[in-house]
Formats: sequence, C-alpha cells, structure tokens
Amino acid sequence: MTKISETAFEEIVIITLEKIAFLLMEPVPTVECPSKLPMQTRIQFEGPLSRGSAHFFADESFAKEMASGFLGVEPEDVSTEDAQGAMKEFANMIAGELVLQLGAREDEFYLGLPEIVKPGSVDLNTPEKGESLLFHFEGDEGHLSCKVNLISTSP
Amino acid sequence: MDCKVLIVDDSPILRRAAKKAVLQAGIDENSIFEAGNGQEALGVASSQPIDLVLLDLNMPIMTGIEFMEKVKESTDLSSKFNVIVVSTESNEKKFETLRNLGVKGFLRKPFEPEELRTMVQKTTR
Repeated sequence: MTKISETAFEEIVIITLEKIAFLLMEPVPTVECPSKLPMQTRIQFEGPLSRGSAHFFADESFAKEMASGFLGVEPEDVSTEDAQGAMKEFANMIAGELVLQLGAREDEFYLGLPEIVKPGSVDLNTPEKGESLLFHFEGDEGHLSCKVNLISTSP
Repeated sequence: MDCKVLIVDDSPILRRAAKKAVLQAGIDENSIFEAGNGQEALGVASSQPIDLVLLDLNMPIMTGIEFMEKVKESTDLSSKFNVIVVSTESNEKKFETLRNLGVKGFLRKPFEPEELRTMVQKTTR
C-alpha cells in the first residue's frame, strides 16, 4: 500500500492524543503560519514500496499540555525539554501508526528516530516529490499541524 | 512487591510515564531501573538481578532486538528475566523473531497507563 487515508490519519492523531494525554483536538481547515510554530519534530520512514516523512508543528502551550497529560503532572511543572520530549514521542507513535496503514504488519519498515526541527526551516508551500498532505488540529490547549510526505518507490 | 523492573527506552519522557505505571503496579521505587538503549540495559542487567524488562525496540546505539540477541547469547543473562516489548512495532515477522529470542509479551504504543500497569502485574505475579 502506498496511499494514506486522510480520514484515518486524522483519527490516528485524535485517538493517540486522547489516549496518551487526555487531549481533545478537532481537525480544522487551516492554522496560521504552522511552519513558524515553535515546537517541531520530524521522523522518517521507509518500506519496500514507499518512503517518506512526517513533520509535526505545535505551539508551546499544546506541547506542554501534551507532556503534562503524558506525565500526569501540572502544566506549570513541565519544562521545555519535557515538551520537546513529548513531541518526539508523539511523532514516534504517529509514525508507527502511519507505517501500519502502509502495510507494516506484513512488510518490514524502517522507522527513523524522531528529531527536533528548528522553526521556520520548513516551507510548507514548497512543492515536494510524491504525495504531500497537510493536517491541522485545534483544541483548548492550542494548535497542532502535521505534514506527511509520501513517495512511492514501487516500480 | 519484591520485583525488580528495568525500563529501556531512549525517550526520557516515556521512561518517566512508564515508571509511574510500574509504581502503580505496586513495584517499589528503589526496584525500578532505567536505561536509554540496549547497551546500557545490558550493563544494568549484568550488575544486579532483574525480574522484568520493559523494552523499546527502536533505539540508538543498541536496538531492542540486538539487546535480545545479546541476552540469548549470554549464559549469565539468558532466562534470568521476563521481557515485555513496549514499542510502535507492528510487523508480524519481527514479533516472531522476538518470541524466538524469548520475549514474553508485547504492548503497542500508544498505550494507556492502565494497560502497562496490568501487564506488569500479570507478569510479576
């Protein structure tokens, strides 16, 4: 499989956030300047028929709320390092679900290690090879955007 | 509960969340150990008796599968502790490989703290 179901991806994000951090988020059509949001992580993946990356953008309030829910502590007790750690672990979990959609149960996929990305280093308007999908979510705790890039490598 | 648990994950925040669930399972705080990769985990498991290892797979330096291979090769460590894999992994072939290396259970990320707590309680009972 080399396609991502947009509805399934939105569900994965919503369910994961609810499960790990009790955060309720809703898909929205757009978020203002997601590439400038301060908390960003990226993870790469590769399978026999496709390769790609998932990039996550969030405001600090959202990342701190996620870390707070994840650790079961008050948001004011969460450090920026904790918030970055939560963003990385969230990227890891979403990428795991994403490759499952792409066929990882049967085929072996390589999943990279999540990394912190400097805000502004990714221009969301730059066209990329393959399929590129943008997702935006909003909740009381802040904003989250996800960019998934998928390149088919099947002959 | 008199049981020593080693949490192996490269994510410090995941280790903290897992530690909380392990504490809720009734394990004493002094009996919970942490390692950031397979190599560190080998060091911890060699220096003291461990009953249960909660093992991530995708880690730098030494992966979870490499850790299990080293454990199986080692006469000192093999069969000394139970291992539960806590990972985003979903590949059936890798699960089979890990079962053959001695892994007793799997918990897929994302998980709820109660799921991990229940699994720890069942394995350490």
